Amino acid sequence: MSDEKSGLSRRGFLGAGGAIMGGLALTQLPLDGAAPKGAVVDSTLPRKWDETFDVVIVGSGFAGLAAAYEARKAGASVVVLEKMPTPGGNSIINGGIVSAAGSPLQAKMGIKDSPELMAKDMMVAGLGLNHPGLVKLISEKSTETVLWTISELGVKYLDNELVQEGGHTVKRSYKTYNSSGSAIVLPQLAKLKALGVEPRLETFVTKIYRDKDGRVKGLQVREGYEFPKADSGKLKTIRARKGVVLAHGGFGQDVAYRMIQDPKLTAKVESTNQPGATAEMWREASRIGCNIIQGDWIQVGPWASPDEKGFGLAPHFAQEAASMYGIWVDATTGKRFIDELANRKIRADAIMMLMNQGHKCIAFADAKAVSRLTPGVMDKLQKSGVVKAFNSLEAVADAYGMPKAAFLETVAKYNTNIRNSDPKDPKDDIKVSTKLPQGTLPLETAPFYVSRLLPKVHHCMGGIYTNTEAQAMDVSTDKPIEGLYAAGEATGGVHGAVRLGSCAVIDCLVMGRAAGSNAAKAKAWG
Amino acid sequence: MKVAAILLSLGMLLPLAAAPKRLAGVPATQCAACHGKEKVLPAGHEDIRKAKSGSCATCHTGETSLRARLPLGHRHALAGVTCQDCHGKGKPAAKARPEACVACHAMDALVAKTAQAKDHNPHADQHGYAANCNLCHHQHKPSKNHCLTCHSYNWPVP
Repeated sequence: MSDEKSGLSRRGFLGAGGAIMGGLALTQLPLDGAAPKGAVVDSTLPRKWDETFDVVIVGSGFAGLAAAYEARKAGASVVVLEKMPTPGGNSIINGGIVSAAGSPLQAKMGIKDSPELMAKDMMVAGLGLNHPGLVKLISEKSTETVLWTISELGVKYLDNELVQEGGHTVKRSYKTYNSSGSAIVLPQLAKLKALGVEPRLETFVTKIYRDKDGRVKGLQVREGYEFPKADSGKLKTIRARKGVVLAHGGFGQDVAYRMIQDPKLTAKVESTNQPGATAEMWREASRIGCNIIQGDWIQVGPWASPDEKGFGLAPHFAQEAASMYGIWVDATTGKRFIDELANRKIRADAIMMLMNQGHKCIAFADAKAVSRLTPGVMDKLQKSGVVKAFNSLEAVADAYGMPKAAFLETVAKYNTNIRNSDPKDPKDDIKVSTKLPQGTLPLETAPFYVSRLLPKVHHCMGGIYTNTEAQAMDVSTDKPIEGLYAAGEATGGVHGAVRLGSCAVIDCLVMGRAAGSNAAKAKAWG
Repeated sequence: MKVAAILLSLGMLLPLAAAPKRLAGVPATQCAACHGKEKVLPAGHEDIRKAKSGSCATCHTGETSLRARLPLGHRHALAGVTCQDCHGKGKPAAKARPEACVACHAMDALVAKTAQAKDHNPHADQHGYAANCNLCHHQHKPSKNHCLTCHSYNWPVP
C-alpha cells in the first residue's frame, strides 16, 4: 500500500462496492448531479464538460489571484471562481502588513534580519508544528516577493515605516499606504484584467472531480449562486486540463465546522472574517482525499474591539500603537497583564481568561505612540468611538472604572523602565519576548488614547497538506494528488500553532505564485 | 402637501404587495399590465395610463420626489429607461453589468454626490466595491447597504 495506486485502489474498492449495492448507492448520489450527500467515492466524470480551462482557481484572495497571475503569464488559460458577490475574500479587508526578511527598507532603517531569523520566529510561535520546508521557502522568498508586489503589481507601501507584530523579534513588516490588503488585491485584479482574467463572482464550487486514475480533472459549480443559499444558481461543469488550485481560504465564520475543530469557538465568539469564510471546500477537499492537517489550530486575534464589527480598524491602534509603543491594561486591576509583544495566542488566551473572570482589558497609548499610525486611521477610529481620547491619566482611569493609584503606578513604572534604558535598545520588564522597537518612548504626552480589547476568531492555521511545490498531498499515499494545487489559508502546516501577524500575506503570495506557475507547467490530460 | 401624504402611503403600500409578474416591453405607466387589479397608485392619483414616461418629475419634485419611494426599477422605467437599456438586446442576462449603470450615472458624479455622506463616502470605498453597483442598488427587489456586512455605516440606499 505504499505507492499511489494502492491508495487509489481503496477508492476503487469503495466505488465497486457502491456499484454492487446498486439502488442504495443511487439514493446517495443525487440525481441532479449535485454534490454527493456524504463522503462517498464518486469518481464519475461528467459526460460532457460545459467549459474547459488549463488552470481553474478556487478563491479570489491574495493566493488565488497570485496563482492566476502566474498561470496566465505562463500562457495558460485561466478562470478564477469566487462564490461571493465581491472579489478578494478576506484579503481585501485584511490589515495590509507583509513580512519581508532582510528587506531594503530594513537595511535603510538599520535593522538586521535574515530569512533564517524569520523562519525561527515563525517556528517558535508555531510551537514547532510548522513544516520546516514550507517555512524556509516562504522566509527565503519573502523579500523578493514583496519587491515583486512593488515592481510588478505597483503596490504602494509606506516609505519609512515597518511594523513589528507580536512574536517577530525585529520590525520586518511592510505596511500598505492605506492599511489594507486592498492595496495589494486591487492591483492584482487590475493586472489580471489586463491579461483578460476577471474573477467569476457568485460561482460556488459544489464538487471536485477526481477521476479513477487519481487525477483531479475539473469542478462542478453553481453559477449565479447567492450566498448562502445552497441550491441557488445553475449547475455547470468546468474541466481543468492542467490543474485546479484550491485557494478558498479559511472557515472563521463557519460556526459548525469551527466547533468540530475547537468546541470552545461557539457562535458567541465573533470573527474578523468576511461572511463567506465557510468550510464547504474544506469538506470537499477532505472527501476527495486531501490530507487536512492541524485544523484545530484556529487563531483568535487579541487586538479587536467590541465597539466595531469584524476586524475593523481597532487592531491598527491596539497593535501598531498600543502594543508596540504603549501598554495593555487589565482595567479591573489597573495593571498590565501580558507581554504586549507576545504572540497572538498568548495574548488572546490571557484576555479571554480575564474576561471569563469578569475583567475588562484595554489597549493604551499616548499622542507620540499614535503619531506613527497610517495617516487618517486615528480620525476614523475616534469618529466611530472605537478609540477614545483623554487629557489625563486620571480621566482614563475614571472612564474605564480603573483603580486610579494602580493605573498611575503602572504607567509610571513602564515610563521609568523606558527612560532608564538605552534609547537604542529600550528595555521593559514585561515586554520581554522580543527586542522593543527603537523609538519607544515614555507614555507621557497627552492626549492619551484607549481601545477596548475583545478577541475575535481570525485565522485557520491548519488546512490542506501541501509540499513546497504547492501540490496537495493525498491522505492515503502522502504523494501529490495529480492536478491539484493549494495555497493560502486553505492550506496547513506553514504557521503551526500560532501564525505571526503579517506572515499570512507573504504565505499567500509566495505559495499562490508557486501553485499558479506549477499548475501551468503540469502536463495536460485529455 | 396632499400629494406628499399620498406618496407616503404609496411607499408603504408597495412592500406589502405580492411580487408582480414582470413583463418586458410594457411601459411603466401601464400598472395593470403587471400588477393586475391590485391598486398600486394612491387613491386620487391622476390616471397615468396616458402619461408619457418621464413626465412624473413634472409633478414629483422636491418633497414629493419619487427617490427612495419607488423601487429603483420603476423609477428607471418611469424615466423612460427600457429593459434593453440595462440588459442589452435579447434575453436579459442574469444581472445588468455596472457598465450599463455608469453609462448614465458617471462614477465621478456619484462620488461627488455622496461626498458628504455620514461616516464615509459609499462611492469611494477602498475595497473597490463601489464599482459593482449591483451590490447595493437593486432594480427588481429592495436595495440594500452592502457596507453593513462589516461596517455600521447607515445610509439610505435608493
